[in-house]
Amino acid sequence: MKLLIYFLAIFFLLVIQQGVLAPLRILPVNLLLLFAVTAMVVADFNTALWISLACGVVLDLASGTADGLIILTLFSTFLMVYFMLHAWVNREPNQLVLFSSVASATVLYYLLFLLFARIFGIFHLAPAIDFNYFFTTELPLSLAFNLIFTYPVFLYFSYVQSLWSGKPEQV
Amino acid sequence: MRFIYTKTFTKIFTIFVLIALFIILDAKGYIGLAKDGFFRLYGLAASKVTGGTNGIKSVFNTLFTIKNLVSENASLHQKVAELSYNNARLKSAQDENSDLRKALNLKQQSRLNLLPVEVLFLDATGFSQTIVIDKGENHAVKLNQPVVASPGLLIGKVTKVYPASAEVTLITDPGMVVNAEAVDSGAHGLIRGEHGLGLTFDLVTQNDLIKSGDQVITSGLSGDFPRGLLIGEIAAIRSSATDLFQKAFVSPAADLRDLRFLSVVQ
Repeated sequence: MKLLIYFLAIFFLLVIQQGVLAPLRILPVNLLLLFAVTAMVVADFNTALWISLACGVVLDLASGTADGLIILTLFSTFLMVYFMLHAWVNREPNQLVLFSSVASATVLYYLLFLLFARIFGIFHLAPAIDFNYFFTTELPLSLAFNLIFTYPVFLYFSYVQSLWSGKPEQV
Repeated sequence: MRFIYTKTFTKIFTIFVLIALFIILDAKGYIGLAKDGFFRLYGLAASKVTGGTNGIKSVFNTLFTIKNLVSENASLHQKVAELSYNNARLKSAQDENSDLRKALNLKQQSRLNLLPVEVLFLDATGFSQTIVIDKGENHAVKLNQPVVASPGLLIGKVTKVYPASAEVTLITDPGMVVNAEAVDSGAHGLIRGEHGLGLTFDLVTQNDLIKSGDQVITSGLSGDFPRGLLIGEIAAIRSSATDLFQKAFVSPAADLRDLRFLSVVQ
C-alpha cells in the first residue's frame, strides 16, 4: 500500500511537471529527481531505493531518449549520492543537507547521463549528444530550477509520507 | 562482512540486472503494449492539466495585451486580405501548372496522403525534442514518415513506432537534418535543430542570395521529406561574407511548443 501511494505520488508529480511547468516554459526542471533525493535524505534505504527506481522508470517512459538511459542514470545517481551522504555527511537531515544533496545530485545526474549516453552511443542505442550545450545551458538552468523547487517537493514528500504514516518529516 | 555478501549488494545487483533486461526487452519490442498503455494514461492526465494551465495563461495574456488588440486586429485584417489575394494567384498558377504538365505529358504532382493524429504529450525532461502521437503500427504508421501540421508545416518525423502510438522527433532536435531551399532565391542548404530554440539554415553557398523574411521549404532532395513542406522563415543571417558558407537563423512556421492535432504523411 505504501509503495502504491508513492508510485501514484510520483506519477502525479510527473503530470504536474508536464502539465503545469512545461506550458509555463519552466524547463529544464526535474521534480522526480528532487523527490528521489528527498527520499534519500529523509527516508530509509529500502524506501529510497524503491522510490528512485520508480522515478527512473516513469521518467524513462515519458522521455524521448533511448530506453533505459534515464533509469540507469537516476538509479546510479541515487546510489552515489546516498552512499556519499551517509558515509561522509552528518546523518541528521537538515535543510543544508537537503539543498546540497539536490545540488550534487543534479550535477551528478547530468554527468552520469552524458557518460551513459556516450556508452549507449557506442552500441548504437542512442544518438550523439551535444556535450557543450548540456554543460553550458541545460545544467546551470536545471540546477537553478531544481534548487527553487526543492522545498516545495520536500513539503509534498512529507505530505505523501503522512498519508500512510500519520506524521510528517521535519527538516 | 564483505559488502558483496550483504543483502544491500544483492538488491542493487538485482536491480541493475532488471534494468539491463528492460533495455533488451525494449530493443526487441516486447514491451510496446505496456508503453502504449502508459502513454495513453499519462497523455490523458497531462493534457487535462495542460488545458487548465493554458486557459489560465491565456486569461493573463489577454489582460496584459488587451490594449494592443485593436491595432493587432487591424494589421491582421490587412494580412488576411494580402494572403487571400496571394492564395488566389497561387491557385491560378497551380491550375496553369497542372494544365502545362498534362500538355507536356509530365507526371502530375501527387497530393499527400495524410493520416490525422493527436499529440499525447511532449518530452518534459528537455533531453530530447520529441512528442508521442496516438497512432502506431496498427494504423500503418512507419519509421521515418514525415509529420506535418495543417496545412503543410513540417513538424518532424517518426522515429519509434509501437502498436498503438509512435514517437516523433521534432525538427528543432539537434539530431534532425532536413534538406531545404529558400523559396525566393532557390538557395539550397541544410536545416538543423537548435535544441528546441529554433533552426539553423546552414551550408548555403556564398553565391546564393538569402535574406530575412525568406520562406524556407523542404527541397525533397534526400527523399526523407516530400518537396514543398513549409519549414519556417529566415529571421536573421548569422554569417559574414568571409565565411565559407552562409548560415541563417530560421523561425519554425509551426508553434512546436503547442502541438495538438497533426498529420502523418504516408
